Amino acid sequence: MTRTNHIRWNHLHLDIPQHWDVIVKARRHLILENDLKPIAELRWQPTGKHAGPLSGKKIARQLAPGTDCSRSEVLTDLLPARFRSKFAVESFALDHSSEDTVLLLTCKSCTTTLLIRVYGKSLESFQSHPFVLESLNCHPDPPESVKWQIQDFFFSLPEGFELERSSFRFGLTNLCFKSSEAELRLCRLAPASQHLQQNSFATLFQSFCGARPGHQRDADPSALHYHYAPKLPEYLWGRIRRKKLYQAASFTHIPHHDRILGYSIRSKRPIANSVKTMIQDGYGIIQKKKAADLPDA
Amino acid sequence: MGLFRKKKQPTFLTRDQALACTPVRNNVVDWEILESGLIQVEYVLVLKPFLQSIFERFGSSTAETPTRKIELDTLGSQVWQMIDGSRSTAELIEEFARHHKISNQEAEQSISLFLRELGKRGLIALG
Repeated sequence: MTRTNHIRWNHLHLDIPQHWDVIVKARRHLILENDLKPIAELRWQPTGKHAGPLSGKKIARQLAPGTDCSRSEVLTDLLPARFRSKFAVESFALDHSSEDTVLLLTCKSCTTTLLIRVYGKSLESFQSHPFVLESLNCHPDPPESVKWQIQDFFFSLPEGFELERSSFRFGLTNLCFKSSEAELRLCRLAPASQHLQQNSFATLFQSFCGARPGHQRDADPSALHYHYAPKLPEYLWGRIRRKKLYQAASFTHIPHHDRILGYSIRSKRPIANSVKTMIQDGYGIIQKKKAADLPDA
Repeated sequence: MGLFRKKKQPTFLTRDQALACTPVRNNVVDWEILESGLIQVEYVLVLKPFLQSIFERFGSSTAETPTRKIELDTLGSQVWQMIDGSRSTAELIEEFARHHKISNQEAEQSISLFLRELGKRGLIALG
């Protein structure tokens, strides 16, 4: 039994063994690693976001600028049947690193294009863990609630939010999402105890969302909330200057995981309670299972 | 014609090479554990040749070579103590990530930045 981690990042879902790491390089670019050695990198593009089918040159430009890429024989025997039934697979070889395998996948149902570069002899890792490729799924979530899960945390987003930028620095993970009317920031402080040694919980909250002290509301000792709605003159002045004046923010300390999770949403219009509840309730730390089961082969 | 000599391009380590290297503390550097548990490092300031010549010319003959003291923060002190010449950078990262229950990505970013800063000051070398 291999323990698995489920990854949900920008509409891409997959299961990986628990000892593998995921590195977020860009909005639609992930790298899978084992013991700090890259196994594979994944890039994907939903339908309608690119001009046409990817050619060898385009692939090479993305993966290794300055080199060329040629079509090669698809290693069908190495790929699980369930995976081949979901995707149309083409195989390429990079001229400068012939050991690497490049797979260009096109989803048969949603026509999303995926590019997987498998480093060196790492294809064997996929053979020993076939559930990784089998679990690969690119179908978009239902728009009313998009779920994300990476590393040790998960969250749900309301409709219309797109990832703007992300950073995974030590102690501070920051994710920024934008919709037409609002901007959402999610943060995760780890380890929380280190941060709390240097600053108080309220100070951290204030530096995260700029909460004015009078407006902070503490529901319990481990959570702080902030809500701001402008008065009419300020609202009118803000609309002229195209500012997002409505704000809701929350900070939650989870002592047994040694994490602080926070969100801050700024909007042009009043923020609905349902949106706040969805973000608040859908944001958490993954409980490590004692024995995670493999998906059915 | 030294003026027009092409400057040598600095060689950078690849990620794999950097992870395989073993950081070693500079023996010349003095360091102590403070009461707070943090580490204070005292090192000789390496001056540029031009400044060095001014210092030698105008400084008194008995003057000591200029030194600087830096106090590492909690995490920096932990990493400094882990640099004992037996662990490679990759092992440092993994141990640090395991200890703080963070991902390898986060640990790698912070440790590589920290080691780079120590290296610039001549406090460590990569073996």
